[in-house]
This record gives sequence, C-alpha cells and structure tokens, in this order.
Amino acid sequence: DNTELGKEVFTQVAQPSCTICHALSDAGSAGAIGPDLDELKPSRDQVINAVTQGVGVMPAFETSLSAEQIEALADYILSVTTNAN
Amino acid sequence: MRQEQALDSGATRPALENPTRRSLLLGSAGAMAAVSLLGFTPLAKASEPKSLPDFAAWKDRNALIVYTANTMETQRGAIGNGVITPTDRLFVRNNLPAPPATIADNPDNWEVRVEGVKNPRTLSVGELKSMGVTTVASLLQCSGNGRAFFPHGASGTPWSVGAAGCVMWTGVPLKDVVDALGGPADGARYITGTGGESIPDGLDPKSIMVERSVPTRALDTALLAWEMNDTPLTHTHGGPLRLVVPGYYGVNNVKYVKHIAFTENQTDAKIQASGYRVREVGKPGSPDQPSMWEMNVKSWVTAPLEAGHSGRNMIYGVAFGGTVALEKVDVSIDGGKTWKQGRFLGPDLGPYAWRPFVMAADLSSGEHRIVSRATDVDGNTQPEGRIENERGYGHNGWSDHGVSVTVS
Repeated sequence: DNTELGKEVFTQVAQPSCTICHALSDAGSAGAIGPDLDELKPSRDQVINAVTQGVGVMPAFETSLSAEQIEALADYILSVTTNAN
Repeated sequence: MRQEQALDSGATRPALENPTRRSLLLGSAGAMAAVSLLGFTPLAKASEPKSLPDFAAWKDRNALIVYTANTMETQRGAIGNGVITPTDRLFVRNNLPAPPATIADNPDNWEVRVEGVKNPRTLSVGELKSMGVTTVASLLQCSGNGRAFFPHGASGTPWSVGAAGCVMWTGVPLKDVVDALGGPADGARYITGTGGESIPDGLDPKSIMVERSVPTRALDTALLAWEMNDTPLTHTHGGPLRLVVPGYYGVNNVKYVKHIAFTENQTDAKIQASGYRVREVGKPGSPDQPSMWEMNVKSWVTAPLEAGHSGRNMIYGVAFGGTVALEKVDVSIDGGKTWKQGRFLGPDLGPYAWRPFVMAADLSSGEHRIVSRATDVDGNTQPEGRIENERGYGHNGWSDHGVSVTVS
C-alpha cells in the first residue's frame, strides 16, 4: 500500500509542501491558495498531470519528485477523497 | 426558497422566452451534464451543487456554476438579453484567496502606492476621489472563457461562456493620477499593477502573486475603480480599489490594487512571465509568447439553449469587439450554412461593452444548430474554429460556441 508514502509526499516531501496551498482533511491541511481537494475530488490523472506539469500558479514537480512518489501521491489523494461520500 | 426567488427575478425579465430556465434552478447539474456530453471531464465531478464560499455568499447561487471557492461561472441562460450584468450574477475568478471582507469596510482609507512617475506617492481612495472621476461600461472576461471546448483537456477551470459579464466601472482615470504626479518616468513601457492579497509563508511570492503588466497604450483608458454597477466595489470583485483596463482580459484588472508602477519591463512574477501566454499544446509558458491583453471579437447565443417550439422564436445573444466597436452580428439556425444579420438590443455603451442582440427566426421541428458570428468595425470577424493552444485561451471560434436546440 503506497498511500502511506503518498501522505508523506503530501505533507513532508514535496517542496513547497502541498499543505501550504491545499485543504485536505485527512492530511489536516487547510491551505487556501489552490482548490480544496476534499471538494474537488480530482481523478488520478488530474492529480498526476497537475503535479507533474503544474497548473496555473501551481508549480511543476516533475524534477523534484519521482514518478513513484507522484503516483503514490495520486493514490493517496484518491483514497481519502473518493470514498468520502 | 432560493428557487422561488429565482423564479420571481426571472419573471421580472421581460419577454425572454427561455424554456431552459428550469436548468437554472438545478444549479450546476445541468451545465455539468452539458460539458459531459461534449466528452470532456469536468474539473469538478460532484453532481451535488456546491454552496457559495463565504466571500461570495451574497451572490445568486442559481445563476452560477460553482467549481471551487475561487471560480464561479455565470450560467449561460442567466445572461439573457441584459446589457449590464447584475452584480450578483457576475462570474468570480480569484487567482488567490480574497483578503478579509473587512478591507472594504472603510474604502476611502485603502492606499495605493504609485511609482515610476516623476513624483511617486501613496494615495488613499479618498484622495483619488478628488482627483477625477469617470464611468465606463466594460466587459470583464476571463482569458480561459471557452476553455471547455478544447478537446485536449486544457488545464484550468473548464469555463464555457459564462466567465464573462458586462458591468459599469466608476473611478479615477489613471491618466489623471499620473498627470498629477508629473507623468510617467522616462522609458516607461508598461503599467504594472500589484494585488493586495496576502501570500502564505513557505512560498516564493513571485510564484503566486497577482502582478500584471500591460502596455502603456492602455493608459488612455485605464482607471482605478471603486464602484461597480453604481455601488461600492465589493471585496468579492476586487474592492476597495481595482485597476480596470477596458477591453483587456480579466487577469489584467488587478483586484485590491495596492501598487501601480510605470516600468520599463514587464514584471517577472510568474503570472506574467509564463502564465497567461498563448503557446502550442504541450509547450511551457515563457515571456516571448503573446500575453493575454486585448480581447478579441466574440459572441454567443444565450437563448434558446436546449428546446424551442416550432414557429417563430426569438434568438438572443451577446456580442463584443474587445477594444474595438462592433459592426454587426450574424446568426445562423443551420450551423453556419446560411446567415442573417441580428439586431442589436438596447443602448450602445461604447466599444468596451457588449451588445445584446436578437433575431427572430421561424424554426421547424427537429434539431437546429444555432450559431452567431460577430464582426467589428475594423473588419475582424470570428473564425469558425479554434486556435489550439496549451491553456485554452482566447477562444472565439463561432462553431464551438453554438447551441443545439430541439424544436418540437
């Protein structure tokens, strides 16, 4: 289960930290610069694309995170948002 | 309760026959479904209508599609035949979270620093109000309005046609302020405005701050606005003070403006240097690509949207030329095979405003593809197709902006 790695990427590994900009209740973050992930419920592809290439003011993490880390991040976000209903 | 209010306000809008008004009452669900039918994945997948964020809680929920706390689109059918877009129906797009509402409590106390002039100064809104005043009707439109029609899945909010509205701005002409401060410094080529949003620790401010540069040719028309639609500018829409550049895409109209500078170069903030740049699909943004400044000629139908009745129908829409006055708008009920000129509705509020239009058409039973095509006085006209580009900016192709109406 790589969602543990994904949570670590979300809260600690990625720089700047995902938590600064995004609210995600499972991670205890309340950042308000980017979309609230609990509300947005992004697809796996959306997360991977956004994190890899950046979206708008969100930077690209292609060079600072590995493909494995980005996929784990996507799996983690999906696991804590899609089952919320 | 809200639905009843929506019905009431609908009833006061004269003669706008819109069989799809019901979809307004369903909140975002109808629009989401429409986007899905086109084969795109909406950014927000939730089918339940989202509630309005606190800073925009006063807006008309039924007139808006809510994507996120900072992105709300006006429903296509909520524009109807209006020359001026009611403030509570106007779209919202904030690049950063809005400052607290309290910044608009004493608007005259808000201060803006003006630099790159012979005599740099910090001026309060109260002082600006004694320096000059003008009112201009101007369209506000997001650069990505029409992004939903790009098949490559351009990242960003999937706006259809509703990231646009036409409002009245009141404020001091920027030129009056600059003249009072001795004129621009030598060598100034850009007007650079900076927003007053706060930026969280841990981020490079340049990476997210709202700071935009526009060419100094905009000085003839730019203003520092404190009113929208004759009432004090709400902080939802950039109050107490907003830099308004008539005819320029929304992002250039900097909200909560706290700093204006006349500069030799464009700012190196990311939103200017690599953001809002038109480039091929797959390419990153960079300063050598065209920036989203003046808007292009564009139009779309606002009614009917889905269903009509056989016989005479009034087809409504809106058209604009960006910074150039409109010459005409043509309407087709057969997907662009044949065209008939529409009639502009209501007063002409100048080149920066949109013109509602109407055309009476006899519709027979069956499917009709209704499209519109505007032409400005310089002869610029809407193309049929899209100019494919990475972020889905500046789409004014008439084909994608049409509607398919079933007549029974």
